[in-house]
Amino acid sequence: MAKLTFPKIGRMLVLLTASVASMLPIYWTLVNSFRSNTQIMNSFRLFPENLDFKNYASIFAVSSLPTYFLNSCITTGSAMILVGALALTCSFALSTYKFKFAKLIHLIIVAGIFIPSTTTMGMTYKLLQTLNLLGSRPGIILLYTSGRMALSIFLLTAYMKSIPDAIKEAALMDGCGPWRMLVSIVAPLSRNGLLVVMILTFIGVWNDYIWSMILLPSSSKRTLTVGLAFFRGEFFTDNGQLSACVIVGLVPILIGYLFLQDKIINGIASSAVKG
Amino acid sequence: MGSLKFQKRVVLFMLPCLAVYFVFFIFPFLQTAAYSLTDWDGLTSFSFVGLSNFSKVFSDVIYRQAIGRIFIWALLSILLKVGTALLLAYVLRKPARGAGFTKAALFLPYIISSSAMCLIFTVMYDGDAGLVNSFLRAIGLGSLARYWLSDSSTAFFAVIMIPIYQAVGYFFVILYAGMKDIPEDLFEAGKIDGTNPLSEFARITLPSIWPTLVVCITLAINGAFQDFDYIFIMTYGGPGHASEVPATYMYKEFFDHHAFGYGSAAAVILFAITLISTSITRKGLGAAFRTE
Repeated sequence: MAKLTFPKIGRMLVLLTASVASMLPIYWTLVNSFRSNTQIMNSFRLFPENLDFKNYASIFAVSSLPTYFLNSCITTGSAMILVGALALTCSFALSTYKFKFAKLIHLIIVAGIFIPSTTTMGMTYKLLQTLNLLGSRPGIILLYTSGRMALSIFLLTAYMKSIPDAIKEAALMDGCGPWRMLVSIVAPLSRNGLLVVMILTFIGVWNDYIWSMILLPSSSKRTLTVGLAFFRGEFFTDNGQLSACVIVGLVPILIGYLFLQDKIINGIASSAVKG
Repeated sequence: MGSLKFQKRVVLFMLPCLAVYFVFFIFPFLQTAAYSLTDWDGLTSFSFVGLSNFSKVFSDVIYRQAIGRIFIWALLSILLKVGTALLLAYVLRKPARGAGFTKAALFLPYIISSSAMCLIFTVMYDGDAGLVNSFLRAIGLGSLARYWLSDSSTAFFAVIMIPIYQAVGYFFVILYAGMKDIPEDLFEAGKIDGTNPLSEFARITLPSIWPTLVVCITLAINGAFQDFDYIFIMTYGGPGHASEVPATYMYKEFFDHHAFGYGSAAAVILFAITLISTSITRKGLGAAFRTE
């Protein structure tokens, strides 16, 4: 027993330090969101003096934060649905039916994982301008959808290929057409893959900054991430209000993380190793 | 009776996806490659200029320094992101109370958006009330306190610490899963042969997770070459060009100077450098333990 104590204490210390270091900046921001700028400037506190919601009230009254928040919800929700639907149908066709070009199409799509979106920023802007989609919600939703497609199809086809052919052939015997095959056999059996794809899309799109900044120049459609970065200029002098803005932007992600923690962690980890 | 052979209806399942993918993703990529050979300003007609954009990009000292900067970033990412994650995963691989919580806490920063994280660190780096300077003053190193983001010798490093800090948990989760997969027999066989913790790490743990580690290193390089939103939000490449990276350089060429041909050439170069660096890393490091 005594021999085990030293490594055990060491491990505990590492656990503790790692947890504190990971949460400190967010916690500190939460504490500051309840404090006034003068209080923040004067002293470091582990707990706020009192639970003062003044910062929250003033950012909701003065700024366009609610609009940005709603924009982020609409954009992210639409992209999730579109990515889910398109990746599901396409992966289904590629993984279930055997035809000459299936492998080639799969290869071309998956090769897209190696094209970073920064490469195409200029021409994508020009493309959306030509199509009259610049600054519009459909434009950016289609763009996000296309950007998530390579990874999503890569992950979903992997899940779908693990469904035994015998199950699909049995369904054929019962007279299943392609549509019934997708809805009642393949989709339910690969729902974990679909969930991972939707979670990754949620995190990727909700957190995206670059495309929202480039493609949505008008403030009425602007998403929360770009709105937050703008506040950095507007409220530069008021650390309390800045902190409150950050906390509001974190809420949806944190709620999702609280409930789907294991799925999120495992989904992201497995997508990295497979990719 | 149906079959799993090709039928015309199958095309309908792929068509919407392929249309969106090719129009909004592949087409702009091919266009970037094509326009890199022109002097297009985004509005008027253009003429082909051959490879002269490429030689102009390479002869611009600001771009060359920007390329140097992302290699420093990549190196620091490998050392700090992957290194810290590997160390933590190794220490925590044995079951301990609170390990689940630590895993969740470590991963938390990774799912936060770059702009929220930048806002948090803006307050942390504040010259007067920031956590960083307060900490330095508290431990008696007050002379080191400074305005981290407007000092040209620290701006770049202050910014890249943010994505580095965020990604430790990401690589931890990947490496932790890899270490759990190492069969316990290997460690027991090692004990019989008389290993100490150091030789156990070098001879059993490291070779076993080497393929996973190579993936992590490749991802870290990729991240360093592409994640420019932090720089964009925090310093916009400044002060001066002190924190310029290829992507902010490209952005300015496209959207401030409307140099779509020249910017495309800079984009193609960055794409090529990323592809070459990651494949060399993958091939080179992948071979390291293959003899075993």
